[in-house]
Amino acid sequence: MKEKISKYIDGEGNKEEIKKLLRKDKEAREYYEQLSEMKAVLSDMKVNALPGTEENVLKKMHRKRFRVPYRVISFAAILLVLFLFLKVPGLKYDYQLESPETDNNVRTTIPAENEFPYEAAPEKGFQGESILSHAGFEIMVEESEKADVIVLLAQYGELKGGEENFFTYTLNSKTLPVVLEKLEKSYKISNINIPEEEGTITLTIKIESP
Amino acid sequence: MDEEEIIERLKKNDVNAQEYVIRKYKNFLFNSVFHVAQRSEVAQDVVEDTFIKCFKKINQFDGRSSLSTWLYRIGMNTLKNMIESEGARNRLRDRLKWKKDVNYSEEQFKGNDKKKQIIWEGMRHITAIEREAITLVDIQGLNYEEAGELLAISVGTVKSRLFRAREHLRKEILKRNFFEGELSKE
Repeated sequence: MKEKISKYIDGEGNKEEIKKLLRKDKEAREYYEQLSEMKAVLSDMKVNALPGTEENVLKKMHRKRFRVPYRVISFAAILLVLFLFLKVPGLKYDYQLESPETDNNVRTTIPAENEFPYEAAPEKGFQGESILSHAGFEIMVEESEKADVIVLLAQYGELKGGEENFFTYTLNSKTLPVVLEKLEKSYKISNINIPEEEGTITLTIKIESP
Repeated sequence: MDEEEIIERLKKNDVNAQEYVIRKYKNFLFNSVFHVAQRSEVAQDVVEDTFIKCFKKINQFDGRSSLSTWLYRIGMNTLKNMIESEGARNRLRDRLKWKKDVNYSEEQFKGNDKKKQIIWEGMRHITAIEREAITLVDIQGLNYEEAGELLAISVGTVKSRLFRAREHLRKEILKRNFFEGELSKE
């Protein structure tokens, strides 16, 4: 009965039969009235889409997308890292310098004649090109430390001449960086002046008391 | 503009045709989704997504059904997917403390019509499939054949499904004194 009434309110089924049923059966009539009212309220419950639907959809459909070139950016970043850490090895960082505590490379003895001291001097972790690029230098040391500097220079270079506080040593491109590195660790160096000669470098060092 | 012409223009990504289709079907789609989902913000998202999917995949439209049927099915599938992922979205929303969306049903029905409000509450307590049948036939005013085409079921199945849905809803609104006036008259 209920299913027939359900169809009837949609205009389906045997209408005459249902009309008779509704006239005779109070329960059926009550059911029909309830369904009719429910359907009437439901049919009035249509709602509209929120405003701006067209604009939103069309905007999303036709927006110009900016594609981030992630691959290019990643590749450029890798190149930058390679350039900074590998391509420019002359840049010296603190971790590349030998610490004075662990530096056992300074020879305290003066090399014998014709001995090339650099052969025996280890170069672990040292890159000298950047130091060679300095325009010149001066070393300011205490009088008490002057002997140490002279010993170091004598160890790696050849004394060409000098006065009380001026010493000229000949160093080559291999020994000069070693000497400068060791000097830099202990003394303030500035105003480097490196005149070049054929095959050798003559280094004039002025040692002054501060 | 007949449907064939619209589809041809949609395939050419014609903005005017797209706008025309949105205007024509937006309320139909919104109603269908809104009464099933019972949340306006979800319904609006689904409607917009449905149109976008339709326009992007218009070349896959084979013409075996009408455009409205195709749109409806895309819409309902989109809603289904959205409901399935709703749990995850709710958790995210709670975490980010997003402002809770305005409940469209409250805006639409509260204080407006007591009977509509009772039906709305009753609709919450019937199944989504039942809501869908009631929405198409009783709210949208489609006949059984049209509803059957949209739901991809036979007319007989529409009738029985609709009967069960109405019966379920009637019981729910009966609990909420929807028929109080009529019953007291008798």
